[in-house]
Amino acid sequence: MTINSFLSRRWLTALAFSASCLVAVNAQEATSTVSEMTSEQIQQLSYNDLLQLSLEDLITVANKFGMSADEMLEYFLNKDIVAASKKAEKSMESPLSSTVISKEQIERSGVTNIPEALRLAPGVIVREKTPGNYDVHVRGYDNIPSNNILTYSENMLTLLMIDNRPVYSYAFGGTFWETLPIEVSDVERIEIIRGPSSALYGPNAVSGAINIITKKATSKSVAVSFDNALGNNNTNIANIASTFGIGNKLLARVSGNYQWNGRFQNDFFTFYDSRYHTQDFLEITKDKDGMYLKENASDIEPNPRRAGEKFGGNVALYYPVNDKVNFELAAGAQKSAVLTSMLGNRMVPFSIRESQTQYIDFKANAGGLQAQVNYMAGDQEYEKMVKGFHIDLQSFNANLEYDYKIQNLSLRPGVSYQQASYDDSKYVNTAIKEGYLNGKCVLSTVAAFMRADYTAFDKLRLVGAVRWDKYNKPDVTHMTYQFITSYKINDNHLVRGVYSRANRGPFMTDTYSDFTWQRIPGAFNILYLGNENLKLPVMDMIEFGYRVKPVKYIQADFEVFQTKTKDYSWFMPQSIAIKLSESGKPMMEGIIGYDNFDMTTTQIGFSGNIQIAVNKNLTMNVFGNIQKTELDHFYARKASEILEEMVGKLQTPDQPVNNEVKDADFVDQTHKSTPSYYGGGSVNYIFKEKWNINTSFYYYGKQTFAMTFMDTEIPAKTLVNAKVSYNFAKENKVFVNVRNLLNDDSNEFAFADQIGTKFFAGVQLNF
Amino acid sequence: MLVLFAGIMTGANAQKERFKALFIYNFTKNIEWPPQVKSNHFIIGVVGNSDIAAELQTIAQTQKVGNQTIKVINGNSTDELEFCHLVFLSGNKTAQLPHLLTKLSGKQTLIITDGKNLAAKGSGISFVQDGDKLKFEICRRNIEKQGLKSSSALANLGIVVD
Repeated sequence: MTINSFLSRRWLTALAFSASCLVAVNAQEATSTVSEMTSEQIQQLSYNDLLQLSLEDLITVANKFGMSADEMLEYFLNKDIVAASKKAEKSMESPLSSTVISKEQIERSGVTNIPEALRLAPGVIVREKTPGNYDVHVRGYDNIPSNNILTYSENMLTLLMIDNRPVYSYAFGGTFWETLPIEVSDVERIEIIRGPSSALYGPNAVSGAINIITKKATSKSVAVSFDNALGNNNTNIANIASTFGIGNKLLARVSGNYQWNGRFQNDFFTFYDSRYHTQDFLEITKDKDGMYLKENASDIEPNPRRAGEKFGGNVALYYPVNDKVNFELAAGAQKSAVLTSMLGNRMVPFSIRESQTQYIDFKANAGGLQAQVNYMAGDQEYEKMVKGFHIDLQSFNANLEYDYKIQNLSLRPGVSYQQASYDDSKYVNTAIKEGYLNGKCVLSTVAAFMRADYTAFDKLRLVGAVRWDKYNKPDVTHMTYQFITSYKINDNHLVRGVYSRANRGPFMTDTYSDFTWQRIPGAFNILYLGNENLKLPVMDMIEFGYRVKPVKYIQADFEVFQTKTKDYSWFMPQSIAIKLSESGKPMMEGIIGYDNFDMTTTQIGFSGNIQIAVNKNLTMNVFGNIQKTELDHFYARKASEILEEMVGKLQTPDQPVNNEVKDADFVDQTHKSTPSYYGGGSVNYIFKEKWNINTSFYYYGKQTFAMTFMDTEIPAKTLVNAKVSYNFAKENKVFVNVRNLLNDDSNEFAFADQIGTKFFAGVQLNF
Repeated sequence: MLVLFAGIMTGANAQKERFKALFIYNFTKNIEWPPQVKSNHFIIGVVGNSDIAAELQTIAQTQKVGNQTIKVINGNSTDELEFCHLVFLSGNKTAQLPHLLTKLSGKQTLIITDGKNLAAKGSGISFVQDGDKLKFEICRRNIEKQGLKSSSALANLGIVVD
């Protein structure tokens, strides 16, 4: 993917927007619906909208815009959240541990992309791997099992959704954040649920669920927004969006985004000598087996200063038939290239991942009936120009729910079907098992669920949710549940308790791997074998929470939790043997397979979040987590050591050496790969309506990342950020944005980049 | 901290001023202007309060009253206002109202003030703050005295003090 190709797409997008604007200009003018608008919608009206209002509407707007002090505090402190129970409710009353990040917080804070925005919420560990590319974990659980492949550094236990559409990678588990077709400019709000939530959202919502709600057109009047930030290292971030009406009822939003993130360095970490080296060095240096550290490194990434480049476009249509029936249709596409750790080769853990995907998502609401169907397709090259890691993928989700209310009891039954289909046969020679899968592989789930929500005396709330998922692989049915109770002592105090269970779903690699890796061509092959009968990881949680508004300016949220997780899958050397190659020469053949070990992780933690709204112009928050994770019966051996030991024992042909798992190899230990404390805070101040000054900080404690080749310590870090914007003409702003103000460039992730201070200057225009 | 809070108060006031300017512009659409004042610029005079004048200047950049482009003049005295179509007298200049009324008597000028009971004292429209709500008094008699006619919407939506 070249910049030129990106630029040509930008022109296409601009043309599409121009066309859409023309359509919209000809569309019928908006009829007045101001009295029906929420305060939040009114806040979105442009200055031009205000000038065109009738006197009656202007009075309505003035009184809602200049909300009373109490209303304003409520707006900032007690945001609506849907994800916690699939119905809009005030965050003060949310029965689960949850946080909402609003679009105002996102814009004012200066975060440059969606994963960075998650640093604004408690319970989320966010570390930057290379500029603009992040690792995100909810409450930790990262690098389990340790001492293994780099894949286990990915967060496989959190479900990410865009408007309830799962955007989850079924290849190795986890989220490829750069493949989201949307950007922060498209985000209305981000809802974060901490703790097991499979009963509501299905597989993979184990440590939590993140639901990104996108912006929609709310009025038929034409509006265009554009922002562009230019930063050091040639970083360029641009977003454009237009909202308009078509005909009498149809509302549309079209948006496009582009990012080019530059690195602070030219070199890359290598296990060869545990140092950073240039691509030239990697291309000409051989390891002890006589193989180059990274062949074709400069062909794989001609510009070593590029951390990532992405392009996305989206269209969202909303058609309200009447008060009770409406339809939504969204579609979009993205193309991305990112320097990230995922597979990496055996010597260089960071490499380029490229993706291009398209999606379509349809929603229908009729009375209490809600249907959602979506489809995503594309191809992903998990490690560019390395055979075996290029895949065509498709995923399909269908969900049908019905919300039924009988007095104080609300019932929500539903059914769901999910299917992911991955196929690498187009890119590899399947006969020699050159691919990871060597064919089309399908994972699917059929599910039924029910949620009951009962409120007694307006104070006591009892919620029970249960879901059954029938998987094709492994051929099992998992039952997950949530039992929640909350008691509203009065409007200012709420206590709550949760007992819940969730499970992770299966992935392509641990289920279907059938890959022959020519470790030393002609001399040593390693077979990667999946396991269709793996047990799926299950987490149980008990949590107690307390929410309080000690005074009307402050809302605080505290929670203590304990989780137990079992049935992790493991990628472990199993055996090694001497076989005859096709040419008749003896060669070694190792088998590395996926299996479960009887390990349990126990995590206990405390989390606090205090939000203060002194008034509309001065808001602040501070939050933090303290937690401890213990591994019980952990198989502590490094995969590479086992392999070497087996090779050493291999003496006689036809007598394979198996890995002997001894009781003594199992230990109980504190898990040090996840920080034991982390959190952040921010202060936002609006000065004279025109200036917005935001400072934020984010911190985490030290961790020791342990993988098969080596351990490395990630030092504790505090990041301080600041953004100042000036509103020079109504909704048009110029801004400067500084990330990592203290210029602490210690790497935040194992083997990752050293990232210093990022400076941005830019404009945000609305017309 | 003191600077912060001073800024906060200023910011909240700026929001109010923005809406007052929007209201003033909206009022121009609810007044029947006689044909003889519908040529050249539509001149709005602001006595005091430069923030409202600045807001009106912004409106003037993109909006018209009928076919007339808007021109905003801002000063602290009422002496330069004879050719204005609309005059806004800010709250801290209320003392100049009697002088203004004498000066603009019958000159087809809409006089808008900022404060309670000022419509009863001669202005056509006067902003009043009712808690957090921005309201306005309207005196149709005073508007007619100036040779203008107000729309029924103004009377329906304002506090009539005829």
